[in-house]
Amino acid sequence: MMPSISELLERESTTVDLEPGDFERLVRRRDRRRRNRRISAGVVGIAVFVAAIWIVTSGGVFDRSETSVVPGGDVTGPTVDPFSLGFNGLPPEDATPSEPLFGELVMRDSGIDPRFAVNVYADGRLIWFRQDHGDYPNTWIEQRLTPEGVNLLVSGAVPLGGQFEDPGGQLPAGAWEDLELRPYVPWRYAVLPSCNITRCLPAAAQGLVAGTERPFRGGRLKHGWFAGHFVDVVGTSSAVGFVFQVPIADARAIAEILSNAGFEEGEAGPVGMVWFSASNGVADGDEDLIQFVPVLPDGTIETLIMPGV
Amino acid sequence: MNEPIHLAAEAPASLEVSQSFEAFYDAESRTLFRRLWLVTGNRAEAEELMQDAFLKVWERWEQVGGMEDPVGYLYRTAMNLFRKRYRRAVLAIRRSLGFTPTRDDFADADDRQDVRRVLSTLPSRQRAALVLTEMLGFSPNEAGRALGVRASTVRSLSRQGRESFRKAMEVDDA
Repeated sequence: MMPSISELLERESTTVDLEPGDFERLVRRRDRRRRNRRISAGVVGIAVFVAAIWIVTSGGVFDRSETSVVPGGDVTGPTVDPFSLGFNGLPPEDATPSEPLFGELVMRDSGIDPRFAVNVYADGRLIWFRQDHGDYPNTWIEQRLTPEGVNLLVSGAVPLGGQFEDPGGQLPAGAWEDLELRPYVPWRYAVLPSCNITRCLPAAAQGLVAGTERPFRGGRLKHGWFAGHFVDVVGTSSAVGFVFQVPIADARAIAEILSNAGFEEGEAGPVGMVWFSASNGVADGDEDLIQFVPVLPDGTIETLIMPGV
Repeated sequence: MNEPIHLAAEAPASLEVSQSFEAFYDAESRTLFRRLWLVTGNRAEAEELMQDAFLKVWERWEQVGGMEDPVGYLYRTAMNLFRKRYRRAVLAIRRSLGFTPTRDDFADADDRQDVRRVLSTLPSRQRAALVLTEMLGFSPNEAGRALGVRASTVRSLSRQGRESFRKAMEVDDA
């Protein structure tokens, strides 16, 4: 007798299994959400948050016997869990944007999985994120290299860590100006509406984005995986259009306008992406979406649905 | 500040409920994960959806734990999350780039792996309809509520899915 479809599906599904530690990952995710809610509620400002991390982790940085999140290299890294860093939604008002405001990108590695990306800047900033079992940090993570460290990575003398490792994990101690993991705080955001702004954005928000349009440069698109699908967009994009680019104060103002206008803020997206959707009674999937994406020092954004700006 | 926050420490009165949730998780997580994998075609995405569904259940565990069918509630929650994320992603991608989702785990299946090959040809909504109706025994009405579509749409999606299987394999779907 031939198997039924349900039997075939059941049999096929048994070829995959959860990796060990799944309940712990669930608990960790729950805890992070709780903490983020407290932070976003303004109970703990980002400056205090970062300072506390520094106090906890600044000792014994060069003690190689300590447990580290940085595998393999000549120096033990900070003990901070990169997934515990950051903020939910837009950065708190007392967060200090990363400086210098502009940076020359000298190396980029996006990997195959889009939930891994590394950007190295001539000024020494190493700005990156990586995924971990379907989870990702709330923000980009920033560290600081010495000029020697930048040269080691750019020349290929020291390879970048892989997708599930810290990218600078192979670097020697002298390559680091500041090994600590800190949340990257952008000074500007790209605002990506899925709709015509004259229709979907409140008038006050339209005033704030007016004149801030930036065209796509296109070209560098990556595999994007989203809702279980790889969006295979490697190569030159044929997309045309523009996004808005606003300083962080205006991004906050627009977010407040959207909230007051009845837009619903979605759960925090990966690495600082913030979503608002119009709860105007239309079916799921048909609602207007406004996305805020952190802009990196070289003026690019990492997002699954848009090329650099 | 970075110490994990334990539920028992924050809410000792609900410790017993929390333990019940853990038992519920142990009993249902693997099956839910596997079925979401069939729907999404990607392990990481399946685990993420599974986590989100369990977190929603956990937040309401005092109510959900007392329900007649907490498992049904869990699956409806998971499918509701899938539906929202999938439709939102497709919409955003379509509007922004004009691309449509093209690839997932099943697309890499060897041709000899017939089930995966058939699955690779099915849109996610058809997979979801098949999983709900064929594996979980949902009626078209129940599946329609979970997927946010009409019962007639579920019947159509399931029929198309079964037809694809029938064409590709000799199966008894009676």
